[in-house]
Amino acid sequence: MIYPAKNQKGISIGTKILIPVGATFILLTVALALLIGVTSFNNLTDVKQAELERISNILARDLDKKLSSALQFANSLEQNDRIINEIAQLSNYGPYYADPRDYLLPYNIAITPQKMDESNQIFALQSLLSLVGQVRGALQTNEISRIQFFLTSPFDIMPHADPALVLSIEPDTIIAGQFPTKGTAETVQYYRNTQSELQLPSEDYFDISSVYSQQAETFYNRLNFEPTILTNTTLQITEQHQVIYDNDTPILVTISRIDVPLRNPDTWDEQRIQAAYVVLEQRLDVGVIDTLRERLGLDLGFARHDELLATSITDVQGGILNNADTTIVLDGEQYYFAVDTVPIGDEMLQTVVLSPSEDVQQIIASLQQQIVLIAAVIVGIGSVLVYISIQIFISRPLKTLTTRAQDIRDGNFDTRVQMRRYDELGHLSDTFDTMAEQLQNLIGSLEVRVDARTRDLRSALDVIREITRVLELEELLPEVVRLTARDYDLYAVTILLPNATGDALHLSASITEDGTPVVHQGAFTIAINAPDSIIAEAARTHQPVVVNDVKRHKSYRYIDELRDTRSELAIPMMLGSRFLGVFDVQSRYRGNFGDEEINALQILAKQTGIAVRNAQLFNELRRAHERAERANQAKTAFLASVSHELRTPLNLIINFTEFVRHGMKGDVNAEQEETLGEVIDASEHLLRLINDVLDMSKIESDSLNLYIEDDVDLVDLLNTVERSAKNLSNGKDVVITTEIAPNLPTIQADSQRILQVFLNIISNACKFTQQGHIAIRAKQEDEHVVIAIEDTGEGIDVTQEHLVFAAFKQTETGHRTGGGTGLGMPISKVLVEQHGGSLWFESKIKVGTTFYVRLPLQQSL
Amino acid sequence: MGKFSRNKVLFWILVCSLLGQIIPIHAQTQDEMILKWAQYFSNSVLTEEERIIELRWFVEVTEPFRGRTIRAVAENIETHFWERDVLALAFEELTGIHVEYDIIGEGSVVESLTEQQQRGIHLYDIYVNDADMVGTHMRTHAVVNLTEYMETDGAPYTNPYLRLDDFRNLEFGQDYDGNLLQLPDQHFANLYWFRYDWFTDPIIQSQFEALYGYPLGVPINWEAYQDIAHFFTYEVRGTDTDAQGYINGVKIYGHLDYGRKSPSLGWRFTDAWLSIAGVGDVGLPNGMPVDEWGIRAENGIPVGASVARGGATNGPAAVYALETYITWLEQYAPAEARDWTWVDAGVQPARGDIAQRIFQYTTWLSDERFHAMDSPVTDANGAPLWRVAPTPHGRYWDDGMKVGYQDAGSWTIPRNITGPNRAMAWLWAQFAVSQTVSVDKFIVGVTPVRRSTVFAPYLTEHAAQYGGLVEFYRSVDEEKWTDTGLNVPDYPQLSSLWWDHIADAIAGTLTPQQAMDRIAFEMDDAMGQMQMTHYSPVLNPLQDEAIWLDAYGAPKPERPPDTPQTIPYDDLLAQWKADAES
Repeated sequence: MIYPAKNQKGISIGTKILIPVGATFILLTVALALLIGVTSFNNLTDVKQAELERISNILARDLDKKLSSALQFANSLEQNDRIINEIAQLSNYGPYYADPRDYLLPYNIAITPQKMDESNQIFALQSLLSLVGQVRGALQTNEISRIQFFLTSPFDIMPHADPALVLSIEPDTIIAGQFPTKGTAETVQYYRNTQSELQLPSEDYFDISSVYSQQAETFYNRLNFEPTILTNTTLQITEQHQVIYDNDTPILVTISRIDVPLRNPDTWDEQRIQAAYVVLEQRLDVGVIDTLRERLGLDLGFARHDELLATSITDVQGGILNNADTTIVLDGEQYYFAVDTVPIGDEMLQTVVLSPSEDVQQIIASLQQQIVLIAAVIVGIGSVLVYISIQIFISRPLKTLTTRAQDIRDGNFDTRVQMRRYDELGHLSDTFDTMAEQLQNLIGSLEVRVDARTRDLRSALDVIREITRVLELEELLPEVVRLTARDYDLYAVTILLPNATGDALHLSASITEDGTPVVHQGAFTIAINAPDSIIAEAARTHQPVVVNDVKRHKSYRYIDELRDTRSELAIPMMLGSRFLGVFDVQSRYRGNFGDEEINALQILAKQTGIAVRNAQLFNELRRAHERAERANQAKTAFLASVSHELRTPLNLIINFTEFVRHGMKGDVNAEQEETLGEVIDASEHLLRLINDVLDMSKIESDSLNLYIEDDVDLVDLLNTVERSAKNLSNGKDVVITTEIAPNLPTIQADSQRILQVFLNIISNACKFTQQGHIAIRAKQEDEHVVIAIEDTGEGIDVTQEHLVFAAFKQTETGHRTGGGTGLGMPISKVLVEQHGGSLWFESKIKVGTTFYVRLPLQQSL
Repeated sequence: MGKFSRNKVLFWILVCSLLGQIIPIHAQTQDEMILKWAQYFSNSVLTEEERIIELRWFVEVTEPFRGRTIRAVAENIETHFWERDVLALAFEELTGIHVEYDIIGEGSVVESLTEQQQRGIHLYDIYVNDADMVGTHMRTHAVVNLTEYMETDGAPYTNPYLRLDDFRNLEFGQDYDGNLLQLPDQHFANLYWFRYDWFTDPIIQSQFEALYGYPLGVPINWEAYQDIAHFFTYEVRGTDTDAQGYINGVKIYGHLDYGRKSPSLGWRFTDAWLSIAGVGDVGLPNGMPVDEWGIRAENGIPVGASVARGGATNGPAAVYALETYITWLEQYAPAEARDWTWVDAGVQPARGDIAQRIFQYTTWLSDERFHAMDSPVTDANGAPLWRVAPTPHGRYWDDGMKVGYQDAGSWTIPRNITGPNRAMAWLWAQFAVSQTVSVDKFIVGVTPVRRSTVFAPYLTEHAAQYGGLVEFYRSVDEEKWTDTGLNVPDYPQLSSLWWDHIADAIAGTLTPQQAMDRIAFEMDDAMGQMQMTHYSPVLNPLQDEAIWLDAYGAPKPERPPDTPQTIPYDDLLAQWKADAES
């Protein structure tokens, strides 16, 4: 059984392997994703926690950086000569120091405070403003929310003096301290300016004259400074860095001393010594937290003693960080958190980073998705690789094998797989090739035989096709022998037919390999009972006789004309049991006629037999036809002759009788006249009969021709018919009526023949109607006109109806009513039908008959 | 406090006991120093004994300040360099006070002073500041009122031998009430300078007289000065072989000046050039009510500089002053003079091709180039071939007006210098102008501030070396040479308005009238905005200029030129000597 490899819906081996492998992949992937999903949740939580701790640590370091940047900024102030000079100046005009060059004993001021000149206070104001100008711009860049300067008492002039606030600068507020008395800070007056853009006066704003004539307060007023009272104006120094809290906002405080060159009161030498503290505040307010949040990408906050202060999560107030736990619920949402601690001075500020636990779950979800995605890609790629492998190692070799097998199936036995492999498929391939080779050898021999056979059959077919076209026996037989000799490469081909008596066969057609007849036709005859002839034997036995080696056959009759014959086959041509002749072939070669050749030639012989029989039948038929033809021509000539020969004297009889009856040949009496009338009637009947017979014969010989005219007016014709009817019914109690539809169109028709039809009908009507009426009606129906002629005559019996239109037949009524040729109605029907119309009747016995003529308006050409 | 005080007291007791042991040695050293320096200043009008007394006073009074330092500053003229190099050393050796003495440009001196006064910073303890600023100081009250100080805190530190009455032109540093705000440290005038040898050359004299119909001599007025300038620049022939304008083959210029666009160009005018032309009113040291800046002051209140407000800064006389300056600079001065500043031009007459200079600051005459043996302006013995004489005046000048400028660099203590430093500064100032050192200072800088110096025997003996300068200082005419007066309410600000417009006039972008108009109007504007502690300016309303021009005194209407006049130098000198002796 053969399984076609192509177009067969089925699952390939590659797919069969691929499916379980892919499925394994997918299962592994799903398992892996589940495994990772489950384990990674725990791991991720740990990782997340570690990450949060790391970020918290970063945040803590950020704070450290902020602190050190503040410190750096504080130090930078000391590097700025102008700032240092201004602070020295403030010290000079401040409460805790006096330049020994100006005041001989600075220590005195500690004992006896001295009121300072107003000009000195103005100088101090100038220094304050200058300091503002120097420092203000740097606040923003150093993220300082407030900078304050506190004056100290250098050289321990006033050892217990608390640092006194002299200047405080915030982005929108400036507070300046004015110390009118040297030796004490108690008389300090603070002034506040809340303009965010305080326009600092130019240096020549303070002209010399006004410095020594105006009150310091005047300048404060002019510069929009308002007197103000501050509660906390001293500095309690503890550490370089501190954290303080404004409500829940932590403020990093950095304190740095500022050394300036001042005169030592004892030595008067200039010496760099602390004269002030600068206090820098960095508020960790919402803005800062938001900035940090943007940088770290996480929510964060600050805490003190595990109590959350400010966070970047809006609407969250407070919250206790439980160290035993890793999550905290804020505002209904769960967060992971990590805390780091920044030691600031003796305080601990906690940095907290917060991450919604939802994030972790999202991460895990996305991780799983990613794993699945990656796995899908791997499965895809793996499957493709497996597929390709299968293709390369299994499918393609299999396909090659299949293709080769199909080649073999399709008859290509040259095909070989030749797979250079040493695996199972390699062995299969080798085996296949071996098998193919054997098959090829086997088929090769078979093919030769089939080829020959096919050629024989094709030749037989050719011959048969050719001979079936030929009906003349004289043509047929030579053609058969010619074609057979050509196609079968035979030495000679001969057909012999039996003679009329059937006791001998005579040669009807023959041909040799050089295209000439063996002997002249008819010159060779074999008696059926000839003992030494295989042809005769075949004729006798009705079986083919083969002699594959003539020399060894005892009954072979050797003739000179065919001396090279070595083998011969004589086949009887049979049609059923009827013997038609012998088909004899001869070959130059011994053993030329095997079973197949015999079969093929038998078919040929059988067909030739049929053809011979056909030709014989055709000849017989042709001869019969020729005889019939000759008979018909005689009949036609007779009729023409009869009609001519009969009508001419008949017309003479009628005409001359008429002359006589009308007294043109002398007077006739009434009796004579009546007799003469009867002669005329009988003659006219005869003439009519002759005409009808003539018409009938024309019809039968198909030579009746119509002379079609345009515009034939039926009204005229029917009037003629009505007149005729009145004549015919003269003396009878019959009323003749005519009903013709108005506007009845003219028709195309042979008017004489149509009139003949109408007159035939009306004459019958008049003939069979003794009383009552005869109605003639005409009307148009579509593209036809229908003429009805109704009578109240005898009617036609149902059993007689078929006789109405039969030639030479009359109904019983017809016979009774006397006369008629019996040809009128058949002729009428033919005439109407030749016009493309129809003629029929409706009749009821003893009531009457109506004939209908239906004619088309136009004749189709 | 108690414990601290006890420690401190113990410490001081220790210090004092140590000092007690050192003092004898120290005292001995001081005596040697006193002697050393008393002998060093041997040209003084004081005897050695008197000098020792004076110096000892300084030594003793400065005892508390020993080891201290003060900072002083002055402009860059010879006198101050000597003060820095010699006097500061002497002062430190005597008193133990180190004077850090900066010598800088006059402009920078004023800037530093202004900054210190304005901001209260401690730049210098004392400044040598031209008394041109006295009107400013009077109005700002930003300098120590020395009169008051001498009577109060400064009394212990005021030299009993100071002798304020010996000072020449003390009024230059005084306010309307006679309070001394600035103590003169050096004076120098701008005088007429000329080549006495050429003026007395008979050939040249005859050439001039032949051409101009009057004898060649010291010009009395600008008409004569211009004739002489023209004569020497274009006509003189020193020998037969010389071309016109040449003496001994050297191209001669009949005029010298400077014209570079710089602050010193302003001084060229505010240092009394307008008064020489005759711009102000009669009155000494400065015209009243209109001074030589053209500023009118009424009862100490400046009321305007423009003619329309009663001032004279843009009046015909002032325009004439500027026109004449430009004309002479262009026609008679060396071409390069246009690029010179005050300092550049100072010593240029010593190069030998300048016949006369109408505006010679005498401080430059102390420069070696005027005295060197090989100088073209000294004779074979090193004696000067040049002389100084009173400055010729313009056609608007009237008798009783100042006729020149006398610079009065004066010790000035900013008000923010208080306590010991004020005392030390004051002591240093007094030392620098003490009778002990004054003559020696004159010898170096030719900038006498004391009459006793002017009349010192040394000067009498060496008068010839000074080309008539000694005679000038001893004459009564000397008082006509004064500095800027009290009418100027803010010297730094108002003086800064001048030089820019004058430079434009020299360049030709402004006419002299336009330049003076601008100066006048800008000074009016500035004064209108001033708010001074005392005598703050209040501007007069604008009036038709004709009213002011027609009224008596400055601003003066246009005048026709004077007839050129000269006087033989020897006659002049004889006259001065007679004055001095009387």
